[in-house]
Amino acid sequence: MDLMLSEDEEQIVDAAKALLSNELPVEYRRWEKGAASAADRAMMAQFAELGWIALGLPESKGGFGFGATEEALLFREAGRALVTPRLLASVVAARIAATAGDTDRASSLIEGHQQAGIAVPDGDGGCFLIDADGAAEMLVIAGAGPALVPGSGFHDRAPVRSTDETVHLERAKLDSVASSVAGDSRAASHLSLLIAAMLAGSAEAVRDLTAAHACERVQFGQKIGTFQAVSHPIADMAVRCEAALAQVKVAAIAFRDEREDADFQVMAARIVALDAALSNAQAAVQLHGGMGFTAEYPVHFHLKRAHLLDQVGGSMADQLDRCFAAAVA
Amino acid sequence: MDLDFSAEDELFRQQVRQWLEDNKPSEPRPADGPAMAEFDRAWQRRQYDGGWAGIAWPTEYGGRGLSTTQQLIWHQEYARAGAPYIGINFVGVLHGGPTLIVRGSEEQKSAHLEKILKGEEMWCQGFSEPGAGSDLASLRTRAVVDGDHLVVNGQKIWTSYAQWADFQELLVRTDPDTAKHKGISWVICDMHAPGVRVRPIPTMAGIPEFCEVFYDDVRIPLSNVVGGLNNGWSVAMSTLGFERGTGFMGEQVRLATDVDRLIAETHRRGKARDQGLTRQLARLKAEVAALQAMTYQGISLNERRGTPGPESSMLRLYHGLLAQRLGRISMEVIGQDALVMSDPEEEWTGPYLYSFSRTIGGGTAEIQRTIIAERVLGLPRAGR
Repeated sequence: MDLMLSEDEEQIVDAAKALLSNELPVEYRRWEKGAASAADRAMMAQFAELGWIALGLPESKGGFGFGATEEALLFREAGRALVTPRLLASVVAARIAATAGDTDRASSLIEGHQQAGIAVPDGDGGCFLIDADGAAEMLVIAGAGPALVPGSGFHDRAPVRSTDETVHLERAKLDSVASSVAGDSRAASHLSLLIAAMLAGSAEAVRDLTAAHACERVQFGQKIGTFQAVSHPIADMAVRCEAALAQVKVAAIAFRDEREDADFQVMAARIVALDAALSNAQAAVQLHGGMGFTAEYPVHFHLKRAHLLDQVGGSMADQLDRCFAAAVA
Repeated sequence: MDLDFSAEDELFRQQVRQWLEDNKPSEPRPADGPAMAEFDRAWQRRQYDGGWAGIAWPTEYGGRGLSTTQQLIWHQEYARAGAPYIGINFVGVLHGGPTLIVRGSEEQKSAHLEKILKGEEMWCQGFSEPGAGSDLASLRTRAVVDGDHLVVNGQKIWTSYAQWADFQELLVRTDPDTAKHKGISWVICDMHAPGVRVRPIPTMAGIPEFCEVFYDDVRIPLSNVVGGLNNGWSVAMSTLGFERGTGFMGEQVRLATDVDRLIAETHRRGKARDQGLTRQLARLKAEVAALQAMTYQGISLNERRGTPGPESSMLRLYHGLLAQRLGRISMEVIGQDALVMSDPEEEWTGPYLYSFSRTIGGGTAEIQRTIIAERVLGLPRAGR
């Protein structure tokens, strides 16, 4: 039993962290031009080139022979940098295609020729499409779990103003004739694991922003971090991060090794990580004062992204109900 | 990263499981009084005779010298078997003895360590005072050198099980004229010495675990000073390192079985359709999984680095808050049965009320947050 990173894992994390903090800093100007996730999309080809889309796939399926642990650690960094959900969609889609034996679709995703967006039910017979404009593939999150549908398989597409302004949002209807590749029984867990990892990374990012702010900002002649009214909520943020990260690691290992309790561990990771992301973002807005409430300071992007990810593949209430049912079994 | 235990560890798990199955007391632990003390002594002795006492202690001092991972396995199996709370042996076995092992003289070690493991010597902790709680270093219990003895006058408080203890890890001020952290000594106090008076203090959980201890010209040989005169603050930090680092591992592991029992209770009482309740329980279940993951992470770090770091404060805080939430939800589950007081080890009112101590003892939640802020996150030191 060991939850410390191996050398391979460390290298992947360091490389991802360096690239993302250079190329995709979480700053207002990354999104201010109005083109949601434009900078991220430009990076998607590079992500593919780095092997990120197939990081967790076995070599026999066009992957790199790493596992879900490396993938989860990568998505923790993606969550920290608020990378477009297209990366998430493309990785889960590639796994579904590869597992179903659809080698052509898998390799065009893996090699970065095609990308996937996300479709979630809108509760009204249609769906919301997330970062799906121009995407050749769509990861459709339906009741039974994610499935892969061609991006062309939707009609009545209309843009909608997105709460998370860092992504492009549409409403659409799924064509009844659209050909779909159903995900295997592990696809839903795979999706939730990577979402949990992104949420854990996001929680860590706002903890770090807030700790840095508390070390710099001076009021009443002192750094505000000396006030316990400020430092103690930041300590609570750190505890939530520690819990979320530890549980994400356990969930990733359980998923990788196909342990009996893998589904439960992933659900638990998602529940704890969502709470960490939302609670930390809320505390971060508060502790930054007026600055935290401005659009120009990046904390609100983390808050909005956490709410968006909560809607992908079963929100908190669904997770809790499933978790209780699983606890009984 | 992996979750697999080695073949050696799995074998160890089987041995622990078997031994506990054959040897754990079949009768419940008495909640209080001489029967409780006798029970704790006998159970400690049985563990010693079976070769399981002091699992974390080095073999040269009669322990098992096990890795932190094996300690975890012990605690997991202990919780699984429903073996009794360590009770009055907590201080001696989990931090008093370990402090002697790293800081004591050979004479001190041979005088006490084996007796602690055999359940022949009970220890208690004399750190807090009425005027020195979170600000421990401001303690004022005075000790004056008189020949080859210290003469102690003053008062300690919140001393668990002092009425059953033979010895005490006692912090006294031996130099009042220097900086507050520098004039403290850590001494072994004989609780049966003339001038020591113990008064039990009832607690809100209904058991007289707490005491205050008064010292009236108590003479303690200078040879009982551990780690050198006026060097007690650093010795006390060793003690708190053991207490906060691995001392509570057993209770952290136990919470996982508590949440499962509470979920079973919810079903038994036909409340599994109350979604408000089941969602709270589901969140608890997820968070207890995260608590275990944090424990694993702490152990992994410990195995690499050798000693517990300030991260253990995060685990301690998370566990304390979680135990309290579990207690509160349990009151919702049992409904009108909340009217009936239970013993602290029995379901559910006693443990609920006892859970309030978990964010106070061994450093309050506020102190843990300050440690996390300053030593984990590097925030500026508070003016306090």
